[in-house]
Amino acid sequence: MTVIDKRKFLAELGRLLTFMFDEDRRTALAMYEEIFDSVEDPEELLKLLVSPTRQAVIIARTYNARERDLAVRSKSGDGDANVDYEDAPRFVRAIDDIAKKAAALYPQQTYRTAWDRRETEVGTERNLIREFPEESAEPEQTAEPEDPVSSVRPDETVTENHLPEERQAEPFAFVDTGFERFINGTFTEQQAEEETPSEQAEDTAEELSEDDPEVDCALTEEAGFGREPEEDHSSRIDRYMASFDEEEPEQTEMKQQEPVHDAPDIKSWRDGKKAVEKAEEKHPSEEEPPEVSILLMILYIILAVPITAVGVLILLVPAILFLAVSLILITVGFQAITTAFGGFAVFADIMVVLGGALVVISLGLLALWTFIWFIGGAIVGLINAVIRLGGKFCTMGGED
Amino acid sequence: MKRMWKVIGIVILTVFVLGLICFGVGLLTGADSARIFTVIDDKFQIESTISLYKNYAEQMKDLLSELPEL
Repeated sequence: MTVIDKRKFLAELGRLLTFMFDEDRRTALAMYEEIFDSVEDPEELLKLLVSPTRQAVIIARTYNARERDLAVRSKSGDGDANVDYEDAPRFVRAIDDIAKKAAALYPQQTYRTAWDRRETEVGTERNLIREFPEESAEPEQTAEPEDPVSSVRPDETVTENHLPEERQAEPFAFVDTGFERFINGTFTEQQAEEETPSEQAEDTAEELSEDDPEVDCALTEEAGFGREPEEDHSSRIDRYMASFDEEEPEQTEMKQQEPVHDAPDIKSWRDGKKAVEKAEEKHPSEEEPPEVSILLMILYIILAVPITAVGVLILLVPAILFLAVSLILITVGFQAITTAFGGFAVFADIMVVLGGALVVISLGLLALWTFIWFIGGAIVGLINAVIRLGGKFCTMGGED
Repeated sequence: MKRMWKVIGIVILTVFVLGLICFGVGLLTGADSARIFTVIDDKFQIESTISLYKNYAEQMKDLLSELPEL
């Protein structure tokens, strides 16, 4: 019962957090799963959390897609630089606050949030992550309440939800959870795929019949995705591709040795990026219109209007000629058909006249279509070309 | 526009080919052009109309030739 509730909660939450970047969403889900695993009575926790929608709204209010994009870009440039708690994303801090509230449900036990469980051996822990990723991919290890004394220094006293100030300034490294590796900058896509419940959650989310488009829309707008979706999408692809291009050789070798579970296909990402670029070429992003020289526009109108009028008149002559020819031919053709069935007694003569009538009608239709092409294609095309040329002419003059 | 050209082209070509087939079948089955022309002339008076316009053109030509040169 409890497992199903937790699973449904995470599934629904995963569905509602689609406005986030994938790695952020997985981090958030991993943190929530850690909270679930850390409490003894999940039903109490569910009462505290109220609903996935409420939690999604809390995250959405603290999540800014643009800031996250910039943060990821700057993080990729800085390598594995450590992140202070104050520099952590706001949504991570918000979830950590929820974890603290969940910990308050059990005052008899010392609960340490993910942030509080920092270790001092940065290099050692990171090496452990790289050498034994499958061991660190077990969330159960972190889910169980740990003995706080065993993981802290003997001379320190860890109080509930608080850490000594001297430890907060120290460098840190996390091994266990997605959140900790997120803070360390070692939370990779593949590890997230292996250990977070998002995959399971997404599968279950499809089964859920509760669809609330208004909530999705509100969450998307809250996170800033609704304002510039195309830019965010392309930036996500760029960021993802940059992560492949700038990846360290050591990590690349490690990834080649490890079995890849549902790893994203690089080729498909590249194709997607090309498709996005092509789409952007077709539909260029809205930019400020260039300045137009009013003087040049007036001059162009004065020159272009009479020239265009003359051109239209010239094109009208053959158009009307084709119209007349087509009307004559079609009339003659239908007259011939009526004559063929009304005035001839010999079958061979009827067939000859009927054949001739059909040929004449086909030529009349060709002339009629040519007239339509002259009106709708040539004349309208001339006017459109003159307008386009005028736009370029006036813009070019304005830029100069 | 290209699609319309394609559709119109197919329709026109179909009618044209059908007309040619009918014309060929008529000729193969013994059609006589003189007989056909006679029937059409009886109905539309084509020969008399053509001769009428010929006379009209000759009269205009004579009239223009009688005008003094400027």
